[in-house]
Amino acid sequence: MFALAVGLTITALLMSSIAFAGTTPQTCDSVPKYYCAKVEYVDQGSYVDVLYRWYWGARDDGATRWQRFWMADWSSDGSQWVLVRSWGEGLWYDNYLFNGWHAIPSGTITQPAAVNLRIRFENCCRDFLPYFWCSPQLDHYLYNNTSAQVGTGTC
Amino acid sequence: MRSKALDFTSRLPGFVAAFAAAVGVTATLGVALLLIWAHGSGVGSAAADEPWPPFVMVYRDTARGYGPNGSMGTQVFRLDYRDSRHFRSVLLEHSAVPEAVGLTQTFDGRQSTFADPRFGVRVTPYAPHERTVPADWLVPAQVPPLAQRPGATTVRLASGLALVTHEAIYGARRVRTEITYRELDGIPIQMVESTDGDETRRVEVVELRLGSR
Repeated sequence: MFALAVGLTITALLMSSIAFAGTTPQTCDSVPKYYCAKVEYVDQGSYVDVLYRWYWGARDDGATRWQRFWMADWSSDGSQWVLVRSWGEGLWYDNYLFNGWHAIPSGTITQPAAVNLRIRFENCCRDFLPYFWCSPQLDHYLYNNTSAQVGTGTC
Repeated sequence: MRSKALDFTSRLPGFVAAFAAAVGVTATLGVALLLIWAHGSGVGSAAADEPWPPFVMVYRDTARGYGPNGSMGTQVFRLDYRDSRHFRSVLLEHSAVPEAVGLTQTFDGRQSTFADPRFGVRVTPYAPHERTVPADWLVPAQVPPLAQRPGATTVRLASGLALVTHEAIYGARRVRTEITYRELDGIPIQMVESTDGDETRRVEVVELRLGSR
């Protein structure tokens, strides 16, 4: 009995020190044809090591080009989300269909952790004036390995 | 033998005509540029440039990807639209992220404000010639921009409505998009998208109240 208890304790200690490597479920538009994102990370228990924040965009015969509008890492202090780091507008691309993932690598976030981003599109110049529209906010919750999309297309 | 002076004199009407033509072209270009600038900067009759009257609508947007982990989900918004440079959306319901309710997106012509009750406020400045839209399916125009894409068809429906349909192949997927809008003012009231025959997104206006300018 004692040996069993010791064994279980050692197993539990080993389990608690094993890092969990995961990738959040992709957040894509409904087809998808315009955007997708996911986050690859290692859960170290009290914090996560982000390996890559992946995303891609593409235009169709309406949108003329796309870019990363912004991206941010967040950590909750128990009552609110606190900004850890962020990135602004990326380069513009004009690929018609998916042509590969783009990534921002590395970074540590204290748990509970989240990463979110938006992709921006420009439509030019079919109708009365060119305009910008955006993906919803693409939320990736690393504390429970889930994702969701929130908001509408106003940039 | 004719002198060079005589040659110049004989060509004088031609030079005058060419000069007049150059002045005319320059003036025309100047007026055109002025009109483009005035249009872009909002100078002149703004109301005449507006495709839609002011309105308030509540719409339900159900799509693959709005739910948890890429599944189907629904967002409900209230949109207060004054003109193409002044509007505000408020998230009333979210099937997967109820704590995001109250999220507000505002455009006032000079800046766009994204206020998320969970993650705070983000402000984006806009130049006078730049603009954004109330939603990806709601682009202010008398006829939905979708109708201008190659292969799009438009049919009249009953009750003053029209339906624009567009099909395209993206990769190996056949995507069909249908937008129903009011012929009177061009305001869309429904958008349905299907991918390989399966409905992947449906946006429906559940309440519309028109205002006046």
